[in-house]
Amino acid sequence: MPRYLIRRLGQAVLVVAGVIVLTFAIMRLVPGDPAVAYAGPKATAAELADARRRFGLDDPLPVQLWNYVRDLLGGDWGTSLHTRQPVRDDLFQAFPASLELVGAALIIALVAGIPLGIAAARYKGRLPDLSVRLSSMLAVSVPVFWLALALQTVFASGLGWFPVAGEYDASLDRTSPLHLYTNITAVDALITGNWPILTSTLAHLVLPALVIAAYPAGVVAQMTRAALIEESSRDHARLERALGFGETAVLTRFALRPALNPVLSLIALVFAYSIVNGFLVEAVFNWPGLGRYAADSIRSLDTPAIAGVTLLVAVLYVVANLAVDLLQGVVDPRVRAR
Amino acid sequence: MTAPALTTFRRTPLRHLAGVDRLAVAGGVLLGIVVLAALLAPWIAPYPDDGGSATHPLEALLPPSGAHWFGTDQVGRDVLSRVLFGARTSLLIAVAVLAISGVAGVGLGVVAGYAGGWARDVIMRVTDIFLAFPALLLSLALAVVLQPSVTTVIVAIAVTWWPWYARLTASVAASVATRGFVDSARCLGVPAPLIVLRHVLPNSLTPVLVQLSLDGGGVILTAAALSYLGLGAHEPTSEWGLMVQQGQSLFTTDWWVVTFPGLAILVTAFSFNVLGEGLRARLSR
Amino acid sequence: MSLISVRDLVVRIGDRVIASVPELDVAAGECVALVGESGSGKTTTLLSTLGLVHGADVSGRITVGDVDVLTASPARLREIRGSRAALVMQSPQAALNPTMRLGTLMRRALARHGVKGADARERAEEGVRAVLLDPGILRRYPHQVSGGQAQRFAIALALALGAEVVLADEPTSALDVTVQAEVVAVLRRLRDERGLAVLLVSHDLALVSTIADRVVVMRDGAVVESGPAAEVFARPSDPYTRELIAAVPALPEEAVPALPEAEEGA
Repeated sequence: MPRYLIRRLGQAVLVVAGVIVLTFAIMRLVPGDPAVAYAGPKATAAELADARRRFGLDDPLPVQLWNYVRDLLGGDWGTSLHTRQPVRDDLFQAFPASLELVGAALIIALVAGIPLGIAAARYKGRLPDLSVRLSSMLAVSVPVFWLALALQTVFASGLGWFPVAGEYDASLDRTSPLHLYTNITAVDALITGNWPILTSTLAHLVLPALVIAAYPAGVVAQMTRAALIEESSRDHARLERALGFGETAVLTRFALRPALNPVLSLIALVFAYSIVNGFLVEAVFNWPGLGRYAADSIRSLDTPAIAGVTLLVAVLYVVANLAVDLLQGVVDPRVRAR
Repeated sequence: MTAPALTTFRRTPLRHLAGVDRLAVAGGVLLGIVVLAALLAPWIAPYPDDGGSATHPLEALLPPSGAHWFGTDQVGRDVLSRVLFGARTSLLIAVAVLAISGVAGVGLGVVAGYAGGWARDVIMRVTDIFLAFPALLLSLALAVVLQPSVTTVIVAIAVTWWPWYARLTASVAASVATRGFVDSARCLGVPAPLIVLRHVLPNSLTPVLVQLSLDGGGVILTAAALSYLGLGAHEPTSEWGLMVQQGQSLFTTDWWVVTFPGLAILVTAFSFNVLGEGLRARLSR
Repeated sequence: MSLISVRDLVVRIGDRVIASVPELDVAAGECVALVGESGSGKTTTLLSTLGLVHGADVSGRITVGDVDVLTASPARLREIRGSRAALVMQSPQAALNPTMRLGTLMRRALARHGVKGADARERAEEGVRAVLLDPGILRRYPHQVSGGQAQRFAIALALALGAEVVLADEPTSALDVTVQAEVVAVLRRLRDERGLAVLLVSHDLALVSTIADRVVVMRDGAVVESGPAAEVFARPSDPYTRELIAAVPALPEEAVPALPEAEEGA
């Protein structure tokens, strides 16, 4: 295990290094002059020169890259052009809300997807299977921004069952202010026993989380089904049947655990994908997370901010992948032995 | 081994397999309808000029009726006509992205898989880096720094898409390269490029083709998202994502402006997914 | 009174007959071997005694104890699986769920048949000791045990569940020679000491000759010869049986394999 761990860590570091270089390269593709973007179109020549010096745009590219990496590692992620704040602070503020939203979505996806996958595998080739397969294909085919608009229009603006936008009712900040520990509103409200904010947050979470959950739920259902069918055709399933267990027991009590392995390794991919899908959904529901920040940055062509978001999500993805690989050791003893 | 298939061979799979074929056929038919709509848009659209920049201010935001099945938009254009023309944009993007990233990915993948050694290591590490970005994220970053246009969308998505095909092809090509007929070609002194072109490539293509059809839906969704964010097609091009963006503030009052383009994206992505699923199930038998 | 009795068994897939056995009985303390090459229908016959053949038409009459397998309800069938007759499969490790400790599988199987708590623990350890394994093996995962241990554990499962018959499907073909001998020795001992019946499927005549009391030779789904092992081996009446015997390099005259050393401590 230690050697496997070291190799895996080395790989991750290499990928992160590549991710930084690639992000840097994309940001230098900007056709316009970043100095102009920062100083504004009416800037004087002196102001422009000053901006160029500040951003180090006069240096050769390798030097710029080196400076970029040095700044990143030193915690300087640049300054956002539209909030005029350090990008790192902006990200630090926005990320917990995204984590809250995507976390809720993934929980919904697992809670819905795994049982649906089990039902499909149990009744393979029959009606429940066909309906699960078709609906999971629908779920992965739906454009999230459109689904977000549709659910918002029908269930929030129309029927009024759920709040239209935001993370929680802002007026609650006066009546029952929230103490921050994790910066994740729902978690902080829960551990401080702030019920008004907790219930308000949960109500605000439902629609955006459902929209983001559609894709991962579909993927999880399909994957669970396929893995269960494969697992239940193996030798050990035959032995389990010969020990007197019925089909349902073989699937849920024996095949499910090894089958969850591929599903788990998918979660990292789906997590990153969902954060990015969240970009579109957060903008619709005005959720104060990375996505809304990214959407605002895109609108104002705020390259440092976009670079920051891109880098953060890519690194998150690498870390999530690593975590999943290590987690698999817990689920599958064979991996642990490696 | 004695009769290994017994416990796995049940009565249901026969029906199941027939169902899979039906699935592939259903996906194909659905996609065929979308393709036909795209090809015939200028002739079947009730108001062909509305696919472009025509405006009819007096007919703005009419609800669906006999004259306008899908209603009209903010400037009075027929939504059905724009949805039909939108199929052209979406399918053009999908075909271009899949072609570019398919050719680039398969090319690099075959080299990596056949050559092995450091070439494989370098190519695979580079794909690792690209794959660390969720596709929509990298395309977003690229589309932001380039000028918003359909071409930008194609380039931005293709850049993020090729590594999948490179990986897939590399693993298939590596296994093809160890087969007997490749060995014998090598022994006969056939030059490596010719071996790759004649033997390795054709035998590595099938899984990639299935993957391409599965990915059509993903490309359509990503492209629509980019246009929705204002990074892709712009007025007066008919593009579904753009139509949703332009109509989103009207959803509560004039639902048809947003509903039909969104459904068009859904149906197209769904048809790719159903077709791909059906093909995959068929080929993995 | 035989523990397993098969009469006029015919298994068909479509129009093809994959196994046809007019008569087969396994009595307590007896080892009956089904021999033949791949595709001869011997595994099908074995599996059909527990109603585990799917996707094929099975006709005839099969009884395990007092249960008529072909007419019994699915629930009744599940009750006798494991507790009356237990399966031991060919590839020892693949037959065990990789994510489950052996003890967990044992516990769940016992609970399935109504044995729980201290009683279950006792039966589990007893079963494991009877196949000369250390009870510590119950805490291990399948990848942490050897092939021979896994195969002996499968037999322990049968014993713990109180099975009177072990249905062994090529139980040694995935093992190397010395380990094969261990497994066979354990089976022999259990047969001799406890009256455990064994229905053995094998293509390995050398193995069969060391343990089988009676032999049923199958080819292309049909029984070509059957009788007491000594007789069949000494005077094969069917040309196919002669062929099979001739193919065995040197049939050992009296090859009694040694018992494995009991695993203690650890």
